[in-house]
Amino acid sequence: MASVEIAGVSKQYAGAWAVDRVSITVPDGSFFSLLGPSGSGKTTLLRLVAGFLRPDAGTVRIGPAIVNEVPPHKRDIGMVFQQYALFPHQTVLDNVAFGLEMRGMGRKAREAKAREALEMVRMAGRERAYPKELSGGQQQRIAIARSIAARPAVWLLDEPLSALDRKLRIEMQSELRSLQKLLGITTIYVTHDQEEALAMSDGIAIFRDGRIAQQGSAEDLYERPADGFVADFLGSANLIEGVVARGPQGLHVVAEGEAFRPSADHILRENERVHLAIRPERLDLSGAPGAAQGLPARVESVLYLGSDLRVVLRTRGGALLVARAPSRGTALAEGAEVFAAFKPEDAAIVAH
Amino acid sequence: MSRTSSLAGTAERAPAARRPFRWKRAEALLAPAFLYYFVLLVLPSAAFCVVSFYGRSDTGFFDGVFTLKNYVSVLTDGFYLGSLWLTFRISVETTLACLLLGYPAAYYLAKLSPAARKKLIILLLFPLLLSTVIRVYGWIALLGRRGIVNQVLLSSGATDYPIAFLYTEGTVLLGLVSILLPYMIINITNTLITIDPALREAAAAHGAGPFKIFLKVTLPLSGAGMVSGAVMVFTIAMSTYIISFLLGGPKVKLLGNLIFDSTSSFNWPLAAALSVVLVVATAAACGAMVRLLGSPANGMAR
Repeated sequence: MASVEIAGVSKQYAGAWAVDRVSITVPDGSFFSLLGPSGSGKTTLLRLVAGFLRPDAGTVRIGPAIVNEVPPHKRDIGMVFQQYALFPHQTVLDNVAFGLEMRGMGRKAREAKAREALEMVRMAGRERAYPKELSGGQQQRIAIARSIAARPAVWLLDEPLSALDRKLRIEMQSELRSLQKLLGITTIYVTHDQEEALAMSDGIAIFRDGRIAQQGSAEDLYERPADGFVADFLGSANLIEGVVARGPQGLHVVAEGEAFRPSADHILRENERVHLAIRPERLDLSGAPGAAQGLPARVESVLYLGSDLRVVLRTRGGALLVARAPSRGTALAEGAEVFAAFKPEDAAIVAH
Repeated sequence: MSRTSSLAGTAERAPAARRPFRWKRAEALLAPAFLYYFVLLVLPSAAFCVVSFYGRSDTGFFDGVFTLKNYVSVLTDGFYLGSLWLTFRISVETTLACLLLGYPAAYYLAKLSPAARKKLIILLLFPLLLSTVIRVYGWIALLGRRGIVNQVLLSSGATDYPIAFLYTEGTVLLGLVSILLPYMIINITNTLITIDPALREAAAAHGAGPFKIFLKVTLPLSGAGMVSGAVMVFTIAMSTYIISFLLGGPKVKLLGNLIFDSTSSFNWPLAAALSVVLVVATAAACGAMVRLLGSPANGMAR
């Protein structure tokens, strides 16, 4: 096993920086997600780690060794591709045993190992099938088995679940995570699905335009987003414009004429323009004005989503807010005047 | 639903069955081409199959009396059998030479950008604009007794007498390969470019170096192109007439030339029997090739 260390890595594509001075350390045995919209550079970074691309600047280390010049087949990696990329002319067993065969293992030994990997992904019994005879979900399991059969030092996954339907995707998330823990394998996982990243990862880096907007644990990013992009990309967030002002009790944020106390861990500079970022589920519509800090607003629409309601509000200052309220016990009509309250610790103050 | 059962159950749905083919519309689309070939190919072929079982006639095309005489002489006479074997051997050699020369070229073409590849393929097809006869006469101009090659050899003193390049098996082979190589290259290129690049990446990620990637992924997945190219080259070589006529002359008589000779001597039934034997031999060899190496249709060597 080995850690992966990416230090100041840049990669240019057609004159633009696809990856721009990115540094990430993935500790040995941990699960790290690269999250971002398409074209943000996350897949390019994964391909740099795999060795399909060479960085224009910076270093990639696997374990102690710099691997910038090492071709993919000498990097001791396993990889799962978005569209499975199974060898169509080989049986399931030969596909899974491929990495072992390339590492020079004899037929008997590698087939035993491959069967073991097939059992881990619950595909034992389909050894003789060809990939085209399997469903998409089954093919992805085979691709997963192929990538781990040789017990590589680093596991790379490029949006492996994006082609599957939602229910299957959620099942596979927990399976992938438990497999990763079982093997203790250092893992880099590319996804554009924030829920997936939150559910699976020890660490997450959020990409925007080739750079890392923020990295940290799932909780770090969700509770303390660095800016509006991160707050809105990870889950959704209501962003309310404000400015930092000095009052009798110290610095606070003024938005729509109301003063909002910051929670303890924010560092504010006077006159700085900021956003208050509040998660929809943290807006409380049940209270009366004055009981807590918040903003008066008018209900614009109410959407029934089953377990809860999605309520769209317009503040007096014109900001659009989205709140989630339990569908049971909430009686809201369009046009109703409400008070959208939130606790100081639920309002992240992020750069404008 | 419990977790285990949902994993085993809902996750794995087999691909849906294909919709049954709708014949009515397809038939209508097929009709013009089918009619054309039926009247102008199937019926005449059936006719010469019948003729091949008649005796020759000095006054008409055939005598109308059933006989196996033509087949007996084709399949027992050393002259005809020798020609059949020679035709087969030269065709196999042509096919192998086209594979060996064509694969690297196709591999190169497949690596190019689509725009660059298009330009080179146009260049590759350019010679096809020229009639085969003219191109083969080019070889005669080069390799004849007073051809350019012999002139150079004689004047440089490398030889005292002109070398007889023409009317040898080697020259017929040379001519066939020069005419047929583009077909092989295009067939292989078209298959190579359909191979998903992710497959090579997957092989590389799991430990295969460039040579192993070629051996384990690219080569087997281009099998279909090699087979369709080989079938095309082999078939054209088996039925060649003009190339062997001009470059092989009286010494290298392929089956196509014997068929022509039989018609010139008005032995139509013998020509028909030779034709049937040629068609059957070609079809059998192609069938064996497809069976052995995979069919062009399914895209894999199995």
